[in-house]
Amino acid sequence: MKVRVKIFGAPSLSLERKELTIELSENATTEDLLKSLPVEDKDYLYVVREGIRLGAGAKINDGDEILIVPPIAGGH
Amino acid sequence: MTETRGLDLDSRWVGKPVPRKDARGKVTGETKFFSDMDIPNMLYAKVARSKYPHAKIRSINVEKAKNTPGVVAVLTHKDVTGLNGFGILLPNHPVLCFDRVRYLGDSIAVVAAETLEAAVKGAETVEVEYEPLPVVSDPLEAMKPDSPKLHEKGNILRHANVRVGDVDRAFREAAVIVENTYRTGRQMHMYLETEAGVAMLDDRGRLVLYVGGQSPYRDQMQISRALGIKPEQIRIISTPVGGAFGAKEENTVQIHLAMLALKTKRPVKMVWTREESGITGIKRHPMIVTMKTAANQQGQITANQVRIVADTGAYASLGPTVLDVAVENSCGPYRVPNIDIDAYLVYTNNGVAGAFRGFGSPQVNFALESNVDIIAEKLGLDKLQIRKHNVVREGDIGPFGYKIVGSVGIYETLERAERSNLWVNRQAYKSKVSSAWCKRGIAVTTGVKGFGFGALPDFSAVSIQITPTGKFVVGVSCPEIGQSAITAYSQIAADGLSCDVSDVYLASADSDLSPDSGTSSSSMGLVRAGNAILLAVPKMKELLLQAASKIIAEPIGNLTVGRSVISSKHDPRKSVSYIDLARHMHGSGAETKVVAGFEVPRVEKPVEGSLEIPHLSYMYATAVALVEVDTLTGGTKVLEFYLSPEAGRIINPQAYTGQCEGAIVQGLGFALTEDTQIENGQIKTNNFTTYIIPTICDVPEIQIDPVETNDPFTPLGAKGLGEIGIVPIGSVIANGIYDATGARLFTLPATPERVHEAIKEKAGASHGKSTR
Repeated sequence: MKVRVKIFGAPSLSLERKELTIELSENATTEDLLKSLPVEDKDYLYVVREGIRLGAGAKINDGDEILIVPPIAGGH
Repeated sequence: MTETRGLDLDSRWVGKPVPRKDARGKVTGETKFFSDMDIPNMLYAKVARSKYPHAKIRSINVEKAKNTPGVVAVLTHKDVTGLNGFGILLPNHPVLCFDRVRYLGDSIAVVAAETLEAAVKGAETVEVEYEPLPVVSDPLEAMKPDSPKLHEKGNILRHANVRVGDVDRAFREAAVIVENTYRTGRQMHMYLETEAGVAMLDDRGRLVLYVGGQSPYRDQMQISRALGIKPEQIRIISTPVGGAFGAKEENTVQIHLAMLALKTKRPVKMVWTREESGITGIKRHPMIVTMKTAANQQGQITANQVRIVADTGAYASLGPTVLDVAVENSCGPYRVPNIDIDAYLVYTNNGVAGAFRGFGSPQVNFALESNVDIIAEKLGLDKLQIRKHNVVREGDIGPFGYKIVGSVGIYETLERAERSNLWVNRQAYKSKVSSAWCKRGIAVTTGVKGFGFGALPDFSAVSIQITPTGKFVVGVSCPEIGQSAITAYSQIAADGLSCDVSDVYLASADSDLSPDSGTSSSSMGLVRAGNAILLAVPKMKELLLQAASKIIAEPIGNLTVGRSVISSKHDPRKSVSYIDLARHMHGSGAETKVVAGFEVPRVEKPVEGSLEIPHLSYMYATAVALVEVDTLTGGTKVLEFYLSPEAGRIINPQAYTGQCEGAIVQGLGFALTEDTQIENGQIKTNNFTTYIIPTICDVPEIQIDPVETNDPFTPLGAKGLGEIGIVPIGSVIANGIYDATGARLFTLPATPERVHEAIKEKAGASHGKSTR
């Protein structure tokens, strides 16, 4: 199955393309997705789908649009 | 009430002054904050901190500390099992130092003991051999190539440069140019509850932390990274918090407490003393802002050239994004076609600066609004009219070439201010004085700030579950930090679910009970989680309708939702209450919980050279202040204050007013008294005796006069609010002092000494370097 991935912040700085289409096997999880990405410090990245951060082991679906986000915050 | 887009809320609760759900407990003192917690078998923790603002560490010896009676554990850098660093944007702040200290708050060892006294004694007996290094205390000196380097890559953590149009040409063609350098103070957050928490292990050996923070999931990540354990092994509970204002976004006690609880397998409590909070905690960035502003004969601002140097102290924290917001707000809410901004974020040994209400905006606002006042005076223009002439309007392109998606109500706030009693009768107000040597002045200024993370990804998930008794539990991880979030979330959910607001409970800021809703920060908690609640409501209604359809044997399409009841549209006798629905759902094993997520809209690509800008929607405000200056002492009192904010839809008028009033009072401190004094890395003002914050005696009469809009940026229609009230306070008070005395302040806070000096110098003073 195919998923679209957008990578933000520090993990994206070394990447030529910050938007990727990744091929994953059926029943792939967030760990499988992170393993397939060319980024570092994968343990501390958030995998977000439709505004919801996915936990470890969450299933990825065909056609998903996934954000890879470092934990960041700002403001008061 | 404004029109509501998004979901069809019947507004039984939204827009109404629903009493705060947490009011009674806090007012009566029944609410237990984490610093109040006492648990059987609990240990007390204390950090051994640096004795020098800048030094190499030659050796650390904890033997005496370990042998101190009552001491149970002493941990050093050798016990940090993951990354020895924390920091939301850049984890370069050591959990426990091993080779070098960069400010007095740096941690060397952390001690747990049977009593607080034993913990303090243990920390005092940690022996450290230092080699003192030169202290870097002046950010301008720190930028020079020959300055001692605090970090490997040098002292300039970040340089942002944004150029739009052609400032040189605009300056050549200008009717008036004003250039001045402004300085602002290092304000402390001074929350009543200092940094505090309790950590323990649960019966499964998981870490549980009760800690005053602004985001349980960010805390979970920072602990996980430092300890090298899975985030799922850590539960964080972060409500209630006794004040935060930005500083508790960052790790404070969390990692140390987690380490000690894992080591001792006992509950451990840490509460920073007021002095420790002053020395160690986050501060507002002091900024040096040189601003050159040009205008044509009609008062239209044509160019703004800005150089910002921000002192971020020893470590990064959120400094890089604070700098972004300062850059973004350097031109205020004005149309400025030609912009040249050079901004530097600089390391020093002056504590650590980071997030603080306003997030870089009040500093540049002081500079801009002072320059605008001077331009008006030079051109003989009314100070309110020049602002009306220049502000952005609905549909405008923002300063960096992006269309402003959100509502733009700044012009309307100026119109409101123009009609306010204070402005209309300003001459009468100014003519009365308390004594012959006092003078009064009135000023008007504007403010702007984006809410949320701007160009950075920003998302929020919430859950809603129906209880067996037909009530609803809403899981939101944004902590209640005093902003009345719990009540606002309840109002939105109650309207959406057509139930009483008292039937909605919040599972607030518990990483086991609430999904990641983002942070209580950037004036965005309401917008993030509020929109996610709007998305969760129809999912929960769908579950209710499915259950009702079975019970009363009607197709879902024939059903209608009333107040805590679902009925047949055709036969009102066929109905089922939420209580009966809940019994049925729980009894039949039906799904009772939904989760929904909201992704905040953002630009695809940030402004070149920035991380966070632009925002797509902004909060706006116009402030008017009446001040009285004692010309003999320089003492300034704010007598009357008017604020017209535009922050989108009003969810709870009482909370709205409270947020604005709180921001104004905190702004009085920024304007008049608050500036942490640090000399050669040593903090001289670290408690309420030496660091003066406003008290009730200093609070003027305040009128809040909101312009309500329905912000199209998100379905909720509400914007953020928490920060906008503080943005124009420094500038309006400084301009008020000028109106009263003719003395222009270029440095805040406007202490009596500074005001007195400015009055003495005014005879020879010009309005900055004016070339035309």
